[in-house]
Amino acid sequence: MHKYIIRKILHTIPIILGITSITFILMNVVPGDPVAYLVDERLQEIDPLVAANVRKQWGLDKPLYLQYFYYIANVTRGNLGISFRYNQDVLKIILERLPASTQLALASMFVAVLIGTVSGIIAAIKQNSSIDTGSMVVALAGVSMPSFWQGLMMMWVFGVLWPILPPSGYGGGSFKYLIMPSITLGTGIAALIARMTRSSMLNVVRQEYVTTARAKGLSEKVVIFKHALKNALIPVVTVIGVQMGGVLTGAVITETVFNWPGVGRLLVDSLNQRDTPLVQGCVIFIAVIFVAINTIVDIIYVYLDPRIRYGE
Amino acid sequence: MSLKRWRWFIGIAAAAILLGGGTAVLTEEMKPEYGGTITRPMIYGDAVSLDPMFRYRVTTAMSMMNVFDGLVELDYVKLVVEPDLAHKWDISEDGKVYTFYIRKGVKFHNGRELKASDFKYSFERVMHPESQSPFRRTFNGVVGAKEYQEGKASEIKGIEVLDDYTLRMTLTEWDPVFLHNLTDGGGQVVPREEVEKWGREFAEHPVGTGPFKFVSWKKDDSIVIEANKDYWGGRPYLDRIIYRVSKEAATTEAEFDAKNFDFMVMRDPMYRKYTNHPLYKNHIVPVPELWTRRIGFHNQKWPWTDKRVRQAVNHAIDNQAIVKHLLHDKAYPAKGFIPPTLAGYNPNLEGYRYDPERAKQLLVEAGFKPGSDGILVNNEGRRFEVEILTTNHSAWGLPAVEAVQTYLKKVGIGLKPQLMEGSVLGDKVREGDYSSFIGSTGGNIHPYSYLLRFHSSEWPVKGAGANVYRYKNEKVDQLLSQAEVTKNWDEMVRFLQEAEKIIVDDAPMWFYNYNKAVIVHQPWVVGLKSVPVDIDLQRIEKVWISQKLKKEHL
Repeated sequence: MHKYIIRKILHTIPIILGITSITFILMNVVPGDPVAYLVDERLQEIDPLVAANVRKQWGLDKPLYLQYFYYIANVTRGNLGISFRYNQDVLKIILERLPASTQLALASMFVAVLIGTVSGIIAAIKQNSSIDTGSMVVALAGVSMPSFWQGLMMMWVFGVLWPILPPSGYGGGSFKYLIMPSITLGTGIAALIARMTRSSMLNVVRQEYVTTARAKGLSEKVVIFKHALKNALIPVVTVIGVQMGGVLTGAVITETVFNWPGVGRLLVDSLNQRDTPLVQGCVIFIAVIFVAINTIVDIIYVYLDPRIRYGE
Repeated sequence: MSLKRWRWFIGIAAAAILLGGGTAVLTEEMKPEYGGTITRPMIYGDAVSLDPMFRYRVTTAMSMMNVFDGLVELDYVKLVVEPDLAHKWDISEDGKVYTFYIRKGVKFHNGRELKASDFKYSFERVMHPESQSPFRRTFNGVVGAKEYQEGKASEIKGIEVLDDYTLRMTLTEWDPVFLHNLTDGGGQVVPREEVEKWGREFAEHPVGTGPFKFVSWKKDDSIVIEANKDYWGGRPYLDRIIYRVSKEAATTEAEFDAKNFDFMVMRDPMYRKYTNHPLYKNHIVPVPELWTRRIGFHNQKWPWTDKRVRQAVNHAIDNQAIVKHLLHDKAYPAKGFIPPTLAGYNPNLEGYRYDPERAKQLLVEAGFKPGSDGILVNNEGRRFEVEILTTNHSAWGLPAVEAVQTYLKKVGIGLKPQLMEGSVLGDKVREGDYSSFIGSTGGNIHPYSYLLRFHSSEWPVKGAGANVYRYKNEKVDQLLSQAEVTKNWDEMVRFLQEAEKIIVDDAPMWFYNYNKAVIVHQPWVVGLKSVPVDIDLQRIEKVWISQKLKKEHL
């Protein structure tokens, strides 16, 4: 297992290199001059002397290939550069947003897993019943409902009409500020997990070993939760892993609606402002997060299915 | 219950209804009160720096204008320069030498007394060769600034500290906007020891002399400032201001309706709601801001080289109708270029009346005739179909272009929108790679600066230059040059008004509207002003909360 993890980490290097290179190329071919934004946010009057100095200071007067090599060399030393817009260390800016993103990701995944797995299991056990149909209709609604609309509706009902929760904001990480954004983000994912859980459970409960367990006289509860559920969760864990990466780094709509200071919003804002170092830094960060989560998911597989072994 | 007790109850109930049933309003008897916290949204997103030398962004200026002071300040309502940390100043006869007399006993927020040398340090910091401050232009005309900027001198010779409380600045030539420019972020004073202590991080730990002190900045979340009780101008009324990031319009509206925001700048979709609201319609603060919206023409490219064509477009479009129906009256139809709140505005200026027949006549005179599909064709068979660069801005973007398309089609002009991002549009316009574009321009607080963008010397070169229309009129150049050198304000205004008249007649653009910025506030907030520079720039030390009204309405 240790060898597997080390190999996984080493595989990250070419992945990050590739993603960084593609991002660098894309940021330099899209129209829009970052120097213009640095000099005048309104993009009206660009003082040529200031623009020339700014270009020189940021190394933007050098040939692209040199800029690329300097950047890669810095990244290997853990230096993601200085943000054009903030004039601060890129890694510092991202890490400042990480607590808020992590809180929202964990809370929304908790909502998603709790609602999704429970409703998926019940739907599978009560297959073809009204409970099953009802769960899947709700799941379909959850997947179909735009998070933007859902968020605003919740905000209006619970923040304005019946003000029991703060409509938006981070509130220093206070729990009550987390409720609406995490439910908004979590319900869409819950729907996905519910459908996956149901489908996977239905597949597993038809296996012979489950029939054997029932034949041995074990209670339905033991059959489902001790024997069937672990195997049914393997594909579900994959979905949870992918979604976790997404909510941690890309929940930009929910973050925007609820004024949540997360990484997703940071990336979109930096794209709009042509803040190349910050965009590249965010992309690297997202790549590392996804690789880390994939590795954790692989480790969980081993626990769920002892037949799975790595590095042996 | 006895009859006597019933009467007592009825009497009390009647008194309660009379006293508490109506909505309390601000009356002349109410005096400013000390205390309280105001929370307001930052609708353009978070600040990127709290360093005043990057204060060109509204997101920074709205908070830091209350934390930092300069030699002079701008009365943002009247747009006149007033004393600030310099209680008076002398200007030499030739207009080149300014001597500022600094107030004594003013302290930075770290407790150290302000001296004249702090200004020299602050200004040289802005002009430093490695500085990225866009306020360098403020000091470009100071003797020795060029050499300092090029790294050839260790100081700016034209900034002299005569003693602890006297500063002299010498310019290479008279500059009509020098004092105005000093009121901006580049003219604000910072303590050297704090800048050197924090380095780049000073942008996150600002220290000034202003009525409010910095407390905290939670990135992408909020900025908090609190009252400086030792402020030289007297402590502000409020204890604390919280600026919360709130870019999404619907979210900002929900927070305001939930009374979590004490005031907000209205977005276009909110305008009708609050101007008709039974409570809030009495708590609106509107102002024509210093922003002119227009469709710019490339005056050196066909078909815009012909003045008759440009005038025809101005006659063909009913800007009043567009402002009324598209913008719900959240703008002022433009007659010229200078907005009503800027000195130099000419109320007698005749703009273009909506007259499609006159437009058609002008186009015929310019050599166009209708083609088989109604689109005009010139003598060489070239169709009058032009591209217009646009963003998707709700007030001066694609929706406005679509309205204009309809009007122009009626006179035989085809308009093809090219939708793009603001930065891309800006690049193309500066490079001249366009036929027409729609946008908003302005922001200058001096009328000379506002009109300077029509001088032919301002044609963009290597991306810089405000005359993006490539407009040229020698008489306008002459008038602007005369306005620049005269030291007589009234004479300057006359020159500028004459120049504007010619510009309007030449019609290098379609004059669309002046922005109507509007604040809506909770009933308990008092002291907000109609600030034409940008209504977000409120001097918060003059604002206070009526606790009585707050209790009534919460």
